[in-house]
Parts: sequence; structure tokens; C-alpha cells
Amino acid sequence: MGRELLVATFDHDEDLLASIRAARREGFAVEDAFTPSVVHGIEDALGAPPSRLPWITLAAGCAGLLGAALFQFWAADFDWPVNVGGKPPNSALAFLPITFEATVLLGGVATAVAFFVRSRLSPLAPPRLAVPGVTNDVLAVVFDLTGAEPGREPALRELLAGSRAREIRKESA
Amino acid sequence: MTTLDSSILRPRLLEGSPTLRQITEDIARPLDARPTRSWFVCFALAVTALGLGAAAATYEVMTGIGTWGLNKTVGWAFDITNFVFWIGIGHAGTLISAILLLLRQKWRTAISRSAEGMTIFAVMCAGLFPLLHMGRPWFGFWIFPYPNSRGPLWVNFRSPLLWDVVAISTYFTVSLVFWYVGMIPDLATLRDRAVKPWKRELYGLLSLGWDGSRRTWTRYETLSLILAGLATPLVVSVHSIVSMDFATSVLPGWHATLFPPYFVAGAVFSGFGMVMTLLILTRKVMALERYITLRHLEAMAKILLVTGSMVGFCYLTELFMAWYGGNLYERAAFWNRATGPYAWAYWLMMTCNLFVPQLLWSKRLRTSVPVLFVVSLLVNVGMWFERFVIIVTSLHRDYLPSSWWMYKPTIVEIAILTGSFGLFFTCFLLFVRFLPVIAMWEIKGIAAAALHAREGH
Repeated sequence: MGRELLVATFDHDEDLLASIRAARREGFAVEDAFTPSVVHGIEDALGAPPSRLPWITLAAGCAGLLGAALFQFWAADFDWPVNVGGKPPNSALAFLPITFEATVLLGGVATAVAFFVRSRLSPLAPPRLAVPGVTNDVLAVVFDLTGAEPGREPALRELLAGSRAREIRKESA
Repeated sequence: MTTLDSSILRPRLLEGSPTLRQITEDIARPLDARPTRSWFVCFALAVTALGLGAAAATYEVMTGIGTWGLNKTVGWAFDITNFVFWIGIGHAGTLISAILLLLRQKWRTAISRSAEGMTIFAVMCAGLFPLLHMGRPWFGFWIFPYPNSRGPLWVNFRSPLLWDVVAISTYFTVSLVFWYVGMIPDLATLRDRAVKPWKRELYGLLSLGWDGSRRTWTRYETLSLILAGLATPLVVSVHSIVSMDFATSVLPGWHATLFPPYFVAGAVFSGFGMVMTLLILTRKVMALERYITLRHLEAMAKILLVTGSMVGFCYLTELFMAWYGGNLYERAAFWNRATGPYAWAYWLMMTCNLFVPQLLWSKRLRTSVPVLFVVSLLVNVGMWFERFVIIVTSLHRDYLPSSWWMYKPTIVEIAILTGSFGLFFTCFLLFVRFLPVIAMWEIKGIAAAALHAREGH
């Protein structure tokens, strides 16, 4: 089934935000926005939930912490206790630095991997740009008009023109 | 914003008000042009130095580490000096990108990319020295705890040397991830403006199909914050652990609880010294004065002043504790540092690290590019000598007078040090040729904020 999309481009992030807020007030569905840089406040304007990546960090960090602590304890205490300078086998304080580093390493790397997977970023992924220039100087919003009543599209176009859209274009996907 | 002068609250981070397209052009254009003659000259020099180092390292590995002056009692001299020196250089990048990100210091955006790149290259240089110091570097993987056929006999988890291995591998990995992730949006920008097919392919592979979607940006910002939050304690831990290589030994001059903060301050100080040296050159050669402004240099100068004074305070504390602590060996070690055969190195260190940065109290000197350049070079020299002083003076006068010895670097040692500088500058020069030295997407964010401030939003 074909989808009806309306793509509007802007020069300034304030205009982009204003148009998103206005369109949502009128009940239009925003599919996505594409920008060359972070636009602060866009999550609020869209009512989008925050990212859940911190949970991955927490889980992986805990795994690193427990894994490193238990492994060192097992290796130095049970598997092959070696007397080094008369220090006790379970030198728990001396295990802290490696435990800390493993926490950071696993937490950081796992979060980055989760980000790549979740955002479907891979060397083989072809870039599908909404509009040429969104990685340079164009800000774009995509509205979903599939199944909208006939009068809705002109209303949206008028609204967008009012918030200084540079170009408005219809696309079918 | 009407009653207060906006420039007080929002100091200018850009000269003029470039449009988004201009920002892309200014930063990406040097990558399209043929490299200048000065770039080729620098590159040839760097590669020559690298080749010299590679030849010396080959000779050292094939002959034995005696060529490195290790037949003396001062066994840690040159290689560990260089190792600590390079690790210290590698601290500014993460400090700028992580700690200053958390502190919301917006001026970091113009310098973070190149400082992070410098971190990666410096840690690579640092890693060379312990590896070559092993004598048989192909057994280097023995330092990692892996299931082996010797028992398995595990590594000694109580040793600061092992902590060091883990800390530095972690630091390198996390810094590399941070650097690469920070570059993805800019790589996409380069991909979309590339004319040559091979460039489009290369940047296409590296930019992972980035399309600037709002969902990705939201996750991206979360990831950046998390990595910054993790890297902040990491950067502090790394040099603390490096200092424990010394502090947990019982040698006079090393056995001090002061060492972790002292080393961290010194690392930040030396790292900023190197960032300053490189950026003063880069902004000139690549015509980026509009983005790396005098204000950026001044802010870095202030950090040099603060950390230099902290380091100087540690030097004086060490002296005071040597006297006040009542330990005869400690007192002798410091007396020997200040007046013994290596006194010249000690006073060179004191001059470059404690006295020279005090010049930066003066606003006039702090905003003069030639002065900053000379100061940053002296800081680099001084911090190299700090490690030399700590290591050599403590080792050349041990508890046993029979193991007293004078230390002087061999040709091989000097050639390998030269080679590490060659590696560092080869990597840095390739970086400024093929990757954007300034984070374009971050500068675009700042330009938007500046625009709003002007329009009174």
C-alpha cells in the first residue's frame, strides 16, 4: 500500500520546531525530521520519549563489574593461588582498578553497539536521504498524509508556508 | 537578553556569523584541495622520523634490549619516560570532549575533534614503549588473562603493571569509539558532497548510512552523554593507575600518596600543551582562524595556568614532605634531584612547568599567539623532563650504593623516541588531510544558538 508523504524543508531550526508544534496541534502526524545538527527541543515538540540506551549501559556495566570482580576472585583465590610478596590470595582492594575498568569498557562499548543496532547503522546500509542537503544545510520534516481527508493537505501546506518553509513537496512511498 | 550585554553571557565562539553551508565549506574544502607544499614537507619529515624509529626498533628486537641501555640499573629510564609522556599527552583529548561536555563548555566544540584524534595517536605511541620494553614483543599477549596451556597460570591481578594494561586498553578503546561516533554525522556530510567516486565510497562505508533522522539524533545525544559520563572517571583513573606503577614501589622519590592527583594534573597540563602547539599550527595552515579563535586559545591558556600551578604545587609539596616526613632516604633522594648530577634536568622541569606558565596571568601574554606557541613548546619539554627526573634520579641512586650508576640514553633509545614523534605526526597529518578537523555538526549547533541570541529568542 502506497503512503502519501509531504516533505517540507526549512533554513532555520526555530522555523522547523514552530511548524512541527503547529502541525501537531492541528492533528497532523509527523513521520520524522531530518537535520544536519542536533535541534534542541525537538523531542518536546514531537512528544517523543527519551532514548532507552541508558538501560543497556546499566546492564552491561553491571555485567562488567560483576564479571571482572568474580573472575579475579576465582582466578587468584581458587583456580591457581600464587603467593606474590606475601599478599593474601583475596586481595580484594587490589582487584578494584580492573573491576572499574571492565565496568567502563563493557558499559561504553555495549552502549555504542546498541546504538548502531537500534539506529540500523552499518557500513552496508545505503543512505536514504529525505532531501539532498540534510547533512549540509537543509532541515526537513516529513508528514504522513496516508488516508487523510482531501481537505487536509492544502491546510497543511498553508500552515507550513506560514512557518517559512522553503520548499514543500509531495512524495509517495 | 535586553538588559544585559549578551556578549558577557554568551561569549562569541565564532568570528562573524557563517551560514550552515559556509561552515561545511570552510571546514571541508581543505580536504578537497591538493595538499600544500608545507604539508608535504611536514609529512616527509614525519615519515622519515617514523622510518628511523622503525629501523631502530627492528635492530633492538633482533639484537636484544641491551641496545636500549637496559644493562644498567636504571632499567626504566627512557622507555617508561616516553611511555608516561605520551600517555599524558593523550589525556587532553578526552578531558576536552568528555569533562568539558559535561560542564557544558561550548568552546570545546572547535577543538574537541583534533584533541581526540591526538589522544588516539598519543596512546598508540605510548603503547609502543612497554611493548618494545618486553624484548620479545610477539609475546605481548601474555599480559592479558586468557586461558592458556600453562595451567592456566593467570596474570597477577595485584600488580599495578597489569592495572595499567587494562586501563590503557580500555582508555584506547573507549576514546576510539568516542572519536568515531562523534565523526559519523560529519562523515555523512563529506559523503554527500564528495565528487570523486572513491571518496564517496570511502566516506559512505565509514558514515554507516547516516541520514540525520531525528530518532537517530536523539539516541546519538544520549550515547554521547553516556560515553562522556563514562570517560570522565576513566580519564582520571588512567593516569592515577600509571602513577601507581611508581607509588606502590618502595623507592625513595616514588613512594608517595601524592602521586595519583599529581600525575593527573600533569597529564592534563602536558596534554593541553600539545593541543595548543598543534592547534596554533593547524588553524594557521588550514585557515581556520574563524573557528579556532583567540578566545579558544585563551581558554586553553587558562587551563595551562591552572594545571601548571597544580603541578608546581605538587613539586613543592614533595619537597616539603621530603623534609618534614623525616625519612632520610626520601630527603636524600630530593636533595640529589635538586643538587645532584641531574640537577640541570630538575631545574629545567621546574622552570618550564612551574615558572613559565605563570606568565599566563597576564592577559596581554595570554592572548598573544607567538607567546602561547613558545609557552606550549616549553610545557612539552618540561613535562618530558618531569618524567625523566622522576624515573632516572630515583633509579640511579638506589638504596645500595653498589647499584649507583649514571644514565645516558643510547642512540637506539633516541632513535625510537624520534620514531614515536614520527608516528604521532604522520597520523596527525593524515588525519587533517582526510577527516574534518572540526566537528561541523557541533559548530552548526553553536551557530544556530548564536543566531537565536542575536534575534532575541
